[in-house]
Amino acid sequence: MTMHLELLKIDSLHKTFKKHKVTAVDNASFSIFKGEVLGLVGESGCGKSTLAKLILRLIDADKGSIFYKNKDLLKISNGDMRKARKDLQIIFQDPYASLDPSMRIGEVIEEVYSIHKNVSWHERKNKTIELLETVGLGESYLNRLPSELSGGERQRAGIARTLATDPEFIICDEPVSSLDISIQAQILNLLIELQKRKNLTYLFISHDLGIIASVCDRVIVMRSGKFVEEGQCEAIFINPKHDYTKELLTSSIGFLDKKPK
Amino acid sequence: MLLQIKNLKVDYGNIEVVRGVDLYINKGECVGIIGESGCGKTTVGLSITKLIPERKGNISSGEILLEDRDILKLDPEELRKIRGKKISYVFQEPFSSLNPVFTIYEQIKEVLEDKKDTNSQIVELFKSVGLEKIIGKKNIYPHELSGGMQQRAMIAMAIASNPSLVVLDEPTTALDVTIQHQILDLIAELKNRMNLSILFISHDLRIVFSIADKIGIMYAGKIVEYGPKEKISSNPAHPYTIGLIDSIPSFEHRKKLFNAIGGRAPLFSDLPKGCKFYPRCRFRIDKCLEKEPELELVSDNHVSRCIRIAYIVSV
Repeated sequence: MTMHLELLKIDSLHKTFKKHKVTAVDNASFSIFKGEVLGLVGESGCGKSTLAKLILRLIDADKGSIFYKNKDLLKISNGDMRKARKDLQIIFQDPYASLDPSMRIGEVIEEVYSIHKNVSWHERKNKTIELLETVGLGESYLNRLPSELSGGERQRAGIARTLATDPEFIICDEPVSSLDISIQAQILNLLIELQKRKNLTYLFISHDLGIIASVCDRVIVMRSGKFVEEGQCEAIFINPKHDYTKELLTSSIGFLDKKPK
Repeated sequence: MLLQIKNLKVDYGNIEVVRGVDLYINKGECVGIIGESGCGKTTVGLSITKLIPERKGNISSGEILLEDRDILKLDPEELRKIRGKKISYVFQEPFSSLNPVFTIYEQIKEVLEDKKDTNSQIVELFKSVGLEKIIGKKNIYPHELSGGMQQRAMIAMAIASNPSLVVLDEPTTALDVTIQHQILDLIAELKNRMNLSILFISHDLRIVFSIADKIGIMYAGKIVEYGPKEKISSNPAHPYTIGLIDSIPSFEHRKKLFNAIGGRAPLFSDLPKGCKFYPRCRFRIDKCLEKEPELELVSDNHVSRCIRIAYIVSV
């Protein structure tokens, strides 16, 4: 794996929700390299989704910087940020909530092209079909409504939409948490395959250490807005240093061995 | 035998979702049901005390014998004496199971049979479920507790009446991993100490394997494999079970593709012919389409609903 180019560099990123006096992200600094899958693991409320939203500027950071290819995303205009989002995409947890129930799957994906204007009008349909095939759905899904799809199929449609802008960097925010285990494995396979084929870079957020271990190269363990441990998956999982990481590991049932004892 | 479920069939408006389930639970034993959403596992749990709303669903056949008495034949008054007393439940979302306008103390007091000296009984219950922190705090409402504490309170209510059976339906699914671990430890400890009998329903194999003595895997409204957990985990004999075990994300899996089950579970309104798992099965042969297989013996106490057991076990 080539992991030389520093794609994203986060420096002292900070966010406090003033109303509740909660520091959701406390001076976070880290880098993600091109082609890498970086895991972010922590329990609910530790700030991992807030961090994702900060990176995409879906919420405003209090201070810090987010360098994407050496350009500080916090210093560019809203218009430029919109353009940058072509490269930086996100897959959300709940495929039920992230697809417009009144739009057909084909329209959902085509809409992305009309916003980002990176594909000519008559090419859109072909591109859309191609994408649906990439995620294992195919042309027959063009005219279906989200309500006609199962959870796994909806997540596939969501992934197709994410891929429409041809992003380099994707934040996967608990992408399989709401899915059944057999479907979860299918979607993880799809995400792993796409990453390898397109040399994508992922920030992979999950509360499940098993999932983190099966897809990530490196991992950050987060608790109450702070990073408690960071390192290669092998190192962290075999030889955790921080007590909280140890606690997470012992709590994760059936994690280290394939077959539950 | 504490509880025997025999040939249970339940339909929701003409669509049969439990299509003949047999299950036996001995005293002091934890039986786990694993299945994906919509496989009918929750319906089985609810049927045990006829908790399925009458206008929605209907138990069309079967027997549910609690210590040799058929629960399905009881009148509403007799059922009331069993629900929450002889058979109690803990569900996934503790907050939606607790009444937000009553204090925890009031709600637990309500389930106590012996209304004398309720205070000391509640103190004992709190101690046994790890709620020492709120002993004596009579004004605490459910929303003031964390999810884990709420679930502990639910468990306290479930064991308050010294039940014969506790049905735990996804009791830790809404909780964080560290809290989940604590709750599972608590359940295991109570099981040993009180010799509790448990029906543990979950979609998470890892959790069921960690707590259950015997395991039933459910697919499309039927048990497709059943046996002691050691046998199921080390020697699974149904293609669906094998696929589920292969889908468990783990450290050993590092960056490899899962040997995942393809496709999706069938709709009850449109079940395939023959074996219901046929369209997704990696061991399928034409003969599987002929009729739905019966449960066949794999080894002692271990059965699988598959005609290719001999082949599957050998590979």
